[in-house]
Amino acid sequence: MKTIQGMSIAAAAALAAWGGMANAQTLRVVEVLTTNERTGLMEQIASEFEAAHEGVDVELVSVPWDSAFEQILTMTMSGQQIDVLEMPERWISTLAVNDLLTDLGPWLDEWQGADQMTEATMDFARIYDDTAYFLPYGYFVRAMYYNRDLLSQAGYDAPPETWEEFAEISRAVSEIEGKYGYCLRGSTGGFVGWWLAVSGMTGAESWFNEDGTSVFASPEAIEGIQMMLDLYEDGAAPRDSVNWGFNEQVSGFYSGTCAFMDQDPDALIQVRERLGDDEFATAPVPLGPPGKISPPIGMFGWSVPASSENPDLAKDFIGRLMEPEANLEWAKFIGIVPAVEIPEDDEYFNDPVYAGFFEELDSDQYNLVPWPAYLPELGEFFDVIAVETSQAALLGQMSAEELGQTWDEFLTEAQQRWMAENQ
Amino acid sequence: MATDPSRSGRSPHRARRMRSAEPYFYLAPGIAIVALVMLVPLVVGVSFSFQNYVIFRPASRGWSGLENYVELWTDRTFWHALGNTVKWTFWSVLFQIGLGLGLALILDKPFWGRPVFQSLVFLPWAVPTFLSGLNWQWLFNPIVSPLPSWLAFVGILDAPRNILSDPDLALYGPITAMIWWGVPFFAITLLAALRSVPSDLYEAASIDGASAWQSFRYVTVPFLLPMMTITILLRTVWVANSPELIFVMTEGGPAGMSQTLPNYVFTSAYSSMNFGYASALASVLMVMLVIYSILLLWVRGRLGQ
Amino acid sequence: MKIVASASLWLVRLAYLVFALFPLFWLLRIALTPDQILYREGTTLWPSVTTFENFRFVIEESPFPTYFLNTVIVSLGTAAIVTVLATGIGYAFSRFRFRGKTPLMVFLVITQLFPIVMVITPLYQLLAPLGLIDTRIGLIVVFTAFNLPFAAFLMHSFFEGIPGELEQAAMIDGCTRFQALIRIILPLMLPGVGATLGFVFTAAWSELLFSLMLISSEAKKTFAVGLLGFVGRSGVDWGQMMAAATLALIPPAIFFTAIQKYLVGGLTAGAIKG
Repeated sequence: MKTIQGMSIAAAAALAAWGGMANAQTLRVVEVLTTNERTGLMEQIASEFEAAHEGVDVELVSVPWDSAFEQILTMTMSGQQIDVLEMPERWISTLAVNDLLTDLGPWLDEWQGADQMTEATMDFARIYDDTAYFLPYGYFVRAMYYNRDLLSQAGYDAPPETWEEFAEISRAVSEIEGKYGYCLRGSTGGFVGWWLAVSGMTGAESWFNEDGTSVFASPEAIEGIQMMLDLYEDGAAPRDSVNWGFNEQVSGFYSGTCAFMDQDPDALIQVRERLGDDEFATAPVPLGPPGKISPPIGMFGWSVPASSENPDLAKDFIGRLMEPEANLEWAKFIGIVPAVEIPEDDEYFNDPVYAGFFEELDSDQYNLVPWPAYLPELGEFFDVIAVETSQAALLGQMSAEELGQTWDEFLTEAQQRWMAENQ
Repeated sequence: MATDPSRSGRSPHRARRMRSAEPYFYLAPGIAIVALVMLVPLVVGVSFSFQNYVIFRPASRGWSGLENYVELWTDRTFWHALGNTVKWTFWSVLFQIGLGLGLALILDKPFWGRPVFQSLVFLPWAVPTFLSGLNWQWLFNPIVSPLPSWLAFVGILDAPRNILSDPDLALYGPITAMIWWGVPFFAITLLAALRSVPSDLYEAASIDGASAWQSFRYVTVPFLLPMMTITILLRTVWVANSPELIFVMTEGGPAGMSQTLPNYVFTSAYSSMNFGYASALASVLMVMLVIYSILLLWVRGRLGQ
Repeated sequence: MKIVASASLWLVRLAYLVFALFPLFWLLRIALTPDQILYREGTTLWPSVTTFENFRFVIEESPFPTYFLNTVIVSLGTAAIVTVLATGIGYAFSRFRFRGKTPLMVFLVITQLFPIVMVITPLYQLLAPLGLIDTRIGLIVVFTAFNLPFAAFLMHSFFEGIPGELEQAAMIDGCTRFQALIRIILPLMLPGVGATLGFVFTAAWSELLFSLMLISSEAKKTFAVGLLGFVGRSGVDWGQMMAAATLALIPPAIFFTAIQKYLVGGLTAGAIKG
């Protein structure tokens, strides 16, 4: 008798569980920039969302950043369910052209949170093909970090305003035993530094001219490239830096090995853990003869892949993540400029250590430009071609002219092809 | 599994059929799983190489015959990477065999502390390759490791600098990591092989007055050879195909100087997003490894006679 | 003379131990060094201050205990299954003449010749409809298929080392072939079985690429994937990563200790023959 009773209870429980399962909707949220600090906030938002939406189960999936693109590509192309996907603007072209992303446009038009976003955010959402494939949650802007102690040891008390001063101070710091001027990043991601030098000398606001030719083969661009090569050649950057990536560059800076590095605000988190606020600061990137420069702006945001099984819920969730309070806190955890207006009294972002970044955002001399993320060849250029050839030039296997021309050829072809296809 | 026909008392005809089917009972489960999980993806993977398959141009996907292979013929990066692959594989495997054999011989004879020693020296192999790459990257970095100054002290380097940033030496960084990581593997298999040498063979040799070297040369080596060839074969193939260490430690740099074929396959697939070309590269590497395997097995056959 | 020989032998052993362990020591050193002085005291053999914070974090606050458990399950499962299947294949190759033997051997070698990168996508598309994506079973299946060819050749070589008369004698005494395999042959092959188990366990233990691509949910990740999670866009948690890596060496160490009596002890063929 007892057994039967027990069995029927078990059966009822099983049925209830099964029924519950059938009703539950799973919202798969894929993160690619997970950090310990951020996870807490994300989990809190997820459980609030679950409480507000009965029968919804938010499943957080975090993919290691190192292989995130490969993994996301495989997952989306195989139709694995992803409802909300965190991604940089660079991925959009590849995923969108394969119809793997949905258009957030109609939702954005009605979305109540839209007026709290900065104007740039609503524009950048449509960065590719004039379609809102994602909603940016924050921006990476490049500024110049400098080490106050090293500068004063070399006899300077202010950061350089021009590339000429930058080169001069870099050489002076390198006179100190075991110290160097510039933490050059020669490996993946290093192209940003080269672009700053080129944009500084040419004043170019884009990689391309109207006719689709690139700016890299112009005499001013070559001058910028030559300046970087000279710095390395003269020992104003560490010899090893030809192979430095993010970690080597940032650790080179906070270990006090070199006085300058060009980096995004996210590097602040690590630098501040090891250097006091009085030991370093950030300045806008130096200017060249034209008196204006176009530092790159990179961004991360949320998208709803085509494989989403609950696209409406997914958009609700993105809306929740983008609420001003959440977005601000989120931005602080990652070290990124938020997508919402920063309140005037915000202590965190008004800290003087951010000066370099916000001066660039406010000043007319700095025109922040996004990478040409619409070019499908951008990944190959940025990760392979730019790295290999700039390293070859640093090692003396290639001249500044040859380097500029190689880039020009590749990029001009890509741009003109794109223009032809999109006329 | 009770397939022994001699006890079943059935008709001899049927028994013979059972007997001829018998090996397949032992083989089937394993072969089936390998065929399903490895063969199908492999065929699909190779078929990419005959296609125009660029991820960001889905509209132009289609069969393209040998186009990818023709392109490869004039690709300088391919030839350069091929040379590096040979260098990378040769030095890695050579040192792994040498040190692995040495380690196996050390472990073969009992000595005080052997169990602990054995557990410890096998540990490198339990470290995931990418992590051993990251770790060796630290060790070669003069800011965070004493190794470069030691290398300079013994005269291998002219100054304590990072060999991973040196275009002429960069490849030897991952090679070192590969040797360190892979020695235990050779040691384990060779040790197991050594333990399987019938001890009466040694007794016979020592009765015949053989020296230690002679009994090694004429008893141990012939016994180890079949095992060694197969181990060398599969390890060479594995090392030649393995991109992780180079990817983590040098990314093929500086200036592509440490680029090997598997790395080139990877960047072609995921940076250039040309799966067709990446697959052609991979297929060429596979064909070369097939030729190598046939040669090695042929040599093994000759030695066995 | 003997003392010199024995001393130099010890010197060799010691040298090898240093070569094998120094990089592991460096893992431990990084794990024990507080972040702030990691670079300042980069080249000293031992930091001026040590901390167990990284270990505490990994054990108490991170999901690594789950990752370790997953990896143990997957590695043990793979090692056991591969060893059984490889015994079958090795035995068949060694003891039978049958049609298709050479093509089968060639087939097994060929599956090992293709860079994994190129099979990942097709493999994923094959496993997805079977419901094997993001499951530990799926991972065991893939690891098994991937490690089996080598293990089979290894077992084949060990079978070759054991004279066929042994089991024929047993079969004349009334054993079935299968009984002869289990009772007579396998006990002689313990070193081989131990080596195969050790090889497969460790290969599965440290595997990254398949686990990375096939597993996405937290509850099923293996530790290698977890380690890669420490490598972020904005830097690496070196201390925590190395602490987790150091802890990750303990299970294989236990496993090696457990199998080593088979590996070096084992009965040798000669000993039992009489």
